[in-house]
Amino acid sequence: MLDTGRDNYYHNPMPEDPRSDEVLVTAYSAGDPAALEILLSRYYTIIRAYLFGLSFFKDEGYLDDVRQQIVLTLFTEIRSGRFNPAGDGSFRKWVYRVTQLECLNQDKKRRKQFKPVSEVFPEEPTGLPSDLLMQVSPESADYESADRKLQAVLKYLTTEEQKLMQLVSAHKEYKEILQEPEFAKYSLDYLKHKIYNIRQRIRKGYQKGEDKI
Amino acid sequence: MKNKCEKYGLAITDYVLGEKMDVSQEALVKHLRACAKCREDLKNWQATYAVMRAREYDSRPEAKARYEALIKELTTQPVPTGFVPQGTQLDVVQEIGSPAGKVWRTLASNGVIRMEDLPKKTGLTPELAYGAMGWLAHENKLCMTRHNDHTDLYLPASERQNAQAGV
Repeated sequence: MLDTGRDNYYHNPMPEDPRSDEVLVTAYSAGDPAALEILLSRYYTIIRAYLFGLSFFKDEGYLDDVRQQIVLTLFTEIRSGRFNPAGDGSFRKWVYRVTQLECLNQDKKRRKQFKPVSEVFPEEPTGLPSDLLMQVSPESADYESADRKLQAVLKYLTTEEQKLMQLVSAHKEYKEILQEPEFAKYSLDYLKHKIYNIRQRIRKGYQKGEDKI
Repeated sequence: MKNKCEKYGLAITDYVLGEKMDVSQEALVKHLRACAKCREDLKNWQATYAVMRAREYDSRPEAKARYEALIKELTTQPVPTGFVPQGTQLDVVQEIGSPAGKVWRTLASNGVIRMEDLPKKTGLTPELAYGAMGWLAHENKLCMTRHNDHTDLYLPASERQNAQAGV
């Protein structure tokens, strides 16, 4: 029996609601504040993931501040009726558009401040040539599908494997991971091998389909 | 090509996670230029990694507290009323889009219909039938010809071809 305690490790604030985004916007406008909570919870984490892909700056505090700003912008615009569920197309596209614009604005503001290169690009891997970067642009990636696949794959990982992936997602060095009490028993090589295996399982699961790991 | 892609598959995940790769960056770039599947793989992994990081960040107690405070602040503000009437909210796509499909199919099978006959022929209420008509017109899927005493509705040529082809 697999341990599926994923909620311990990954944020998933609200249960699924069958209503579409557009219906929730209308419901909120008609006086139902719970509809707003459901709506924001659907996009809260996805906005951060999208921002992580888009923004020049990857530090956590900055991304959180920009996301906060985006959520407030969405809130204000919904309240003022700027998003019209009957006529403005999908809410999802609108959220991405607002996120893109806000990200550009905030990045532009931040670039004006002087920052040492190491601080501006703390985690940027050695870059790909620009022609390739255009082709793998994070703007066109499907974050919601990636999220669904991740949630599906997590069900098949043990609690320990999930914790390991969580630490990898938090950008922890292998040596730091070994300092966690539950992983202190592992050698560095074994840990690398284990993480490699989990990644391979996730990759294979993605390629075969969300439910076959 | 399959084995080659498997070899680079690992390099792609290493690259996205910022880890040391088993292949050189030049080799990876060369392969990515040649292989559309691996470029897609890279894009997907970037998105997955971004989602993993975002979910991990949002699981932290301080991030959860910030989220809860934000939601509380937003949901306790009074909802501005006045621009949307109270009552049961309907899904516009479902309410008008589905009847529009019905009108389209009726026009496809009948050819030409008089506007005043539309509700009867489609079995829809006049409000829904004429709402659906507006939907089709907006999507350029409806033609109208006015005569002295009535107006005819019919599908444009491209839609008639689609109907014949069973699209």
